[in-house]
Amino acid sequence: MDTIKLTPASGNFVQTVQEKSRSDLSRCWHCLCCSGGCPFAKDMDFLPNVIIRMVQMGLKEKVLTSSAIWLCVGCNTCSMECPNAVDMAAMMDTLRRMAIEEKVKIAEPAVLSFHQKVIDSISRYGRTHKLEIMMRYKLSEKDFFSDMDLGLRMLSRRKLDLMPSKVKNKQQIQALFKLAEDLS
Amino acid sequence: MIACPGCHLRLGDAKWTLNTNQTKRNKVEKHFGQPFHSDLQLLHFFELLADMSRSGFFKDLPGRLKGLKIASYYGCMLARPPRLNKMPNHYGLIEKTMTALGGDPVQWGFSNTCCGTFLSVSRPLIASNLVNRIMKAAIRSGAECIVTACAMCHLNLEIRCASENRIPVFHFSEILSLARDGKPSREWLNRHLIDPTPVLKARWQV
Ligand code: SF4
Ligand code: SF4
Repeated sequence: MDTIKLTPASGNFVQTVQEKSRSDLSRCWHCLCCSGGCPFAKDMDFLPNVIIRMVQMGLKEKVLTSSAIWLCVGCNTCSMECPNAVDMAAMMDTLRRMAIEEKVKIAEPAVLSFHQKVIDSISRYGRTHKLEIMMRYKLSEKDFFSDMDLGLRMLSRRKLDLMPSKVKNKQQIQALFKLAEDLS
Repeated sequence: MIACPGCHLRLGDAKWTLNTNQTKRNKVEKHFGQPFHSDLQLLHFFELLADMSRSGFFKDLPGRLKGLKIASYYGCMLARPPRLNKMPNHYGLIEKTMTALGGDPVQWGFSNTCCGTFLSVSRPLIASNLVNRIMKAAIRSGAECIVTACAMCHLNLEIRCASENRIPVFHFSEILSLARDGKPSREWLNRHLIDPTPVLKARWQV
């Protein structure tokens, strides 16, 4: 078993995470209700409540490079189970932002890449153009063949549109992106 | 009025932020050049439908659902972060509406299990495991179809379920239009990846 050395500086990490996510992690009593309810817990390297504990112990690198923070989809199921109103989804969101800002190794690059393609599409058209998102995502992941038949079936059933539907006033969209940045 | 559960949650969150953070509120008001109405009400479409159900509005619709067995699927629509736990809860609204429309909602265990959202693209195996558990549970409960309020759920359930676990998935707007005049729209049925025709044929002219 690994020994964890706690120093006075270990507390900095939890403080930052709590401030940024506006969630009081000291309320957590590790009852595991969140992890029991989370539909993705079994695919994560650390259970959601374990991530809280690791944050409290200052294990910054381990947390920011974990797959758990990227497999969390922010569905808030855990918050419905938590007896102490811990805002798990907000904490996970903060950890993802920190992982990007601190340029650590991202455990689930495909997840981040897909998010970026969606945001790019919205900034380009003001809406999502699903076909283009998927093509760009597949290109960046160098994964050309999985789901090919699915894509074709979706096209033929008109579930995917060939051409993007665009918002007329692009400047407004860009201004909204700027505003969102300013607010965050 | 909002039809998408995701939008409903995000707008609820934005409203909460604007009501609790004056600095952000000032910036947003400046950006849009108008004041924010703090008592603005956000109504989910299903709240209106449930109200209409109570007042008997759907009693005489020509296309009433003839006891169609429906698994109401909320996905993450009922969950919200702790700061928003005062928002009205939507639990049971789909069942109430489907009953008022003449359908027969079943009881089942997976009505509020998340569909996997974007993991359907970046980690398809995780999503398909989850979707198959959801679909199997719906079939076990005796449902003939699933009804959802979310376009994303609709897509994931259709594209990630294995061929042996298939029952049709409807967006609630399709069910509403069916109940209104009893004429399933070919144009919309054709867009389904799981063909709903066999289920509909038993009761309607398709
Ligand atoms: S449910 Fe809440 S209190 Fe229980 S372990 Fe999870 S975060 Fe902690
Ligand atoms: S918000 Fe994240 S941690 Fe919570 S249940 Fe959903 S996926 Fe799991």
